[in-house]
Amino acid sequence: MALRLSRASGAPPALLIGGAIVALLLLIAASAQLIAPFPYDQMHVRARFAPPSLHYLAGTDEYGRDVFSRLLIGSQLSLVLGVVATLVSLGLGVPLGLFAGYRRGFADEAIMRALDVMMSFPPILLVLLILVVSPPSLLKTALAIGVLFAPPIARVTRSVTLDLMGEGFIEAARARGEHALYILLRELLPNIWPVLMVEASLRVVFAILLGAVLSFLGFGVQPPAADWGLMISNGRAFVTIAPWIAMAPGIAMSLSVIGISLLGDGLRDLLDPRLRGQR
Amino acid sequence: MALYALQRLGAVVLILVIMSVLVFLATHALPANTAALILGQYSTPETQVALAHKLGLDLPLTVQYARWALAMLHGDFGQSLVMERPVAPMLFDALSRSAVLSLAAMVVVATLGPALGVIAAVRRGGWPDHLAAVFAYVGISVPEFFWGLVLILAFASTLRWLPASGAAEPGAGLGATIAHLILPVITLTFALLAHVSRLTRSSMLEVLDSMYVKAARARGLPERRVILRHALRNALLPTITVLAQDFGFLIGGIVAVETVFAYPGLGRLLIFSLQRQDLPLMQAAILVLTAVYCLANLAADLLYGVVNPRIRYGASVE
Amino acid sequence: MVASSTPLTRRGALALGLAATLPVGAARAAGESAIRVAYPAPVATLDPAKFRVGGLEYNYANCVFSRLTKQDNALQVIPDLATSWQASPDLRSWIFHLRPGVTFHDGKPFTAADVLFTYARLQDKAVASVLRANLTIVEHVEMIDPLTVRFALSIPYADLPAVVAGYQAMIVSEASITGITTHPIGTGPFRFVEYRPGDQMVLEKNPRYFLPGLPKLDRAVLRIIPEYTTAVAALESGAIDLIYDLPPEQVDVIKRNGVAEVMQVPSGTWQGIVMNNSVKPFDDARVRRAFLKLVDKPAFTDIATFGQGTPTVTPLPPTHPFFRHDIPLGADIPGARALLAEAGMGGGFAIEMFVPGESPSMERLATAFRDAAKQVKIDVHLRVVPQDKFFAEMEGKVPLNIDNFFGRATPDLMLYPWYDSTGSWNNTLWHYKNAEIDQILDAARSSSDKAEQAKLYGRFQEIIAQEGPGSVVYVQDFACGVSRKLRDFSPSPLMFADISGVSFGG
Repeated sequence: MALRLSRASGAPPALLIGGAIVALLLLIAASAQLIAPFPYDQMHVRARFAPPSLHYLAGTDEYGRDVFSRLLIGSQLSLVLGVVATLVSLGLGVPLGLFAGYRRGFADEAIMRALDVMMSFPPILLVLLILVVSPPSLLKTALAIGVLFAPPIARVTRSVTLDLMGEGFIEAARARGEHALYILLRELLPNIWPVLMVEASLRVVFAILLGAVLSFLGFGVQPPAADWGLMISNGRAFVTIAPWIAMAPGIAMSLSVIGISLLGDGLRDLLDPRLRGQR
Repeated sequence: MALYALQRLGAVVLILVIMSVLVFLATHALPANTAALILGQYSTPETQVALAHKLGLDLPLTVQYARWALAMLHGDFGQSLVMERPVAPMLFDALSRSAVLSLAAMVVVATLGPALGVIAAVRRGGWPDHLAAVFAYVGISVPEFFWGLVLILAFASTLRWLPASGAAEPGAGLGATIAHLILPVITLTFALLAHVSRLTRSSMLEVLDSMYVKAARARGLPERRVILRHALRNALLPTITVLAQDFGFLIGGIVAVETVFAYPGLGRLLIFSLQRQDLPLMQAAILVLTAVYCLANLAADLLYGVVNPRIRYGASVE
Repeated sequence: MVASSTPLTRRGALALGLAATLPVGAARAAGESAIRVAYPAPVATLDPAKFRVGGLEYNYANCVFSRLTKQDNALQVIPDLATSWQASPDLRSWIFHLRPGVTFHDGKPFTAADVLFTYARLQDKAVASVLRANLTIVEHVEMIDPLTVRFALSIPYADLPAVVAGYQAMIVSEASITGITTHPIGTGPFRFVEYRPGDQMVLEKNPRYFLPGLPKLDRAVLRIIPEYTTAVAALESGAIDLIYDLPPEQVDVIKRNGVAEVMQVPSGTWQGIVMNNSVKPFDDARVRRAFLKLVDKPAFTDIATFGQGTPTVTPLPPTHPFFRHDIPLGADIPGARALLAEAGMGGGFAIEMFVPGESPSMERLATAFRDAAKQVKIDVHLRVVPQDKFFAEMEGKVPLNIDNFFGRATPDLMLYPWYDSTGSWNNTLWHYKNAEIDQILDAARSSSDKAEQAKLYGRFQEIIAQEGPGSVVYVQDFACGVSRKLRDFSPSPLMFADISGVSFGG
């Protein structure tokens, strides 16, 4: 279906499949409270460990909570984490990259070396360090991951900026005597945007996965939040008697991540032919 | 080349110094009262003060750091607060176990990854290529800890073919040791395999399209020989460097995988130290992990230079 | 003496070397007299005086060391290194007669000097032993002759023989104290061989153990397997023989599979909800009573332990003859609502509840309470905190938390430290003051009349159920996963898994 559609529209199939999954994910996250059959923390103790059925679509967990409802609510947490972290890294990385690429010279050198140092640390260690120092929360996890992902964003921004600086329209703007800020915001940024979209989709994926690992290790959000990583972690003890408790969020997370990756790859092929085949 | 290597080594040292300061500051920013943690809640304030004095915790932070860093340089990693025994032997014991696990994973990735990539490239557009593409997406999308859980459920709990834990007991035979390693290694390799095979595929495609290969074909060499002798060798260059970079990535994965498989390596030791707020153990584990990560990246950079003569050393590498 | 043990060790090493080249199954058959026990967490410290949490700590110590007295599975105090004891009529002077001919693992003979050294160490503030609180009643310990010691107490106290059975009161020798954290030396049934933190501890038979015929096995390997799923799989495949302290969720797994068995005993280990009575909002007795009324003990027990626990009124377990079965254990939500309204908190509020980490049952208890509190518009935010951090920084300092305690052997040891206004745990946890309770506890501890004690402790439970400082929700069952080949194993209500008498059969 998607293939035929893509042939008709000229869009790559990855984009359509990925787009469909992401659209569904957004729809679910937006309406989770409305469509969830039960509140995410409502216990039905008599029905605990119930296998998937028409009543409990994905079964129930060790408290008799409806796993399906928790999955739906959990999509919000994953998306918030992924999106906030990525926005933070864009907010930090893009200005740095633009500035370095535009100014070049010493400022560029200094910024890039500093980023090199930041990127030399094993990512998970830095986030763990931050989360251990202070009480964990979803927003703080997102912030920590966002800061961590700023350097790669800055690098991509800078390299595209450097490429663009040689283009005629920038030189023309400079010749017109435009203010540097105008050139950065009105001329450069719109042209960097497509590349950033692709990079950002990648970062959303990494942030969701990293956040899940942190929850899984017990350094993320607190129970009884319906966080997917936390659900997998809690479900681990019951994997032999009630596998759905851990499997359902795992599958949901994998599907979401596949969707976002496909969307990112599709966008890349569509928006920026120069990047095709890279990665 | 030598100069470049030295420069990069200098950078690694610099990063370790920065990391050591970060770790030191972070652990001192912990709300924990170290003396209270050591002595427990039944201690009196006086004994806590006495111990804090004995440990030098009442000295200025800079002096404390200098002392600590000097001791680390001498290989004295201090004493675990929780276990009351020297950190160094525990740490290196765990490091060697993690090394076994990650090297085993690396060997698998280094052999299977390129092979899958080549097959996908040669059969471009065919079912092996599509299968490899699906595999690649699944590989990078399924978090290691979940994938490990799926494997445990399938092979250990349901089929009972393999042990569910990663570590055989010390003194167990080679066979048992390998049997215990299979599931964690598969878990670790899954994501990397996807990465390496995709990369090999694209560089292989590039090479297959190159003039060089076209010339070989024009000379009437058999396709098999063209692929194995001419194309593969060139296509593998970028793969090698990616392999080295992935080694660093492996270290991140190892924390989760060691937890799932109850494997007593460095990752588990780190999580243990974080959970128990065992500061000396935490500091040492983080620094050792960082050092391994930096050295792996350095090796990747140098290897890249060796296999790719186009890089001029001395100039910064973008 | 020392030389005589060398050939044995070497033979052991040889056997181990051989096993390394054989397939797994063969290695098992060759080393059949070694028991492998799975524990969930590594020992924190090997120094018994510094034990804070139970599990592997207490069981390792039980293998390597001995105490003056110990308790059997019926919680009766029985001889260990002391063969007999008697008190002066005023219960303020206790004499213990020590077992003759006992040697430490390094060959040093055991004498009264070791007892003096051990107790001086336990009372040393710098060592900061948990047991120091119980030993504050001990004025001094003196040697009467090399095999007799006398404890002089500041108050009349009938439970001293149970106090010296404390987990921390393992007898150590001054000669080998420097190695206590790396190579501990005791007088117990097993000798310490090696400990690899996070991996395993190896013990071997002490051929000169003072009880004849024990231990029955040559070696014990205490494996640390943090994942119960993994440990259960290992038990069922025969790779290990015993799982210590199975969590409730795994009990059913083993029972369902039927390959191994579960042995279970009601223990005195309790979990409950702790309110700090000296801070807001719990300095208001109405709020405390409202919180007590929120707790539906039978339902919470079911949620937290999947039925592997029993609701209780106080730490005095339902198996105890003094337990009051007529006190209701359910919730009273309208009552709670009324009390909160009276206290001016009918509109609800938000509060953080701290939960010690790595304990699914305590997390479930907290979750159950969170759910109940919603009915009176109280928004409970859970904060799961790593255990060491929790005990060092949260316990007794935060307004509201979940906590757990191992069982004790006598009603006085179970209750006095928690409920008397001078009690050590009371002043750590909830800062509770009730003159009638103080009176009851003092009367009960100096009485030796069972009927009188039953009456006093009965009244005690009545008061605590109504206006206690916190809610002791249930006592847990202590369950072990046991291989069908294991003989003569029985878990103790004090959560010991004694392996000195077990053997393999069939």
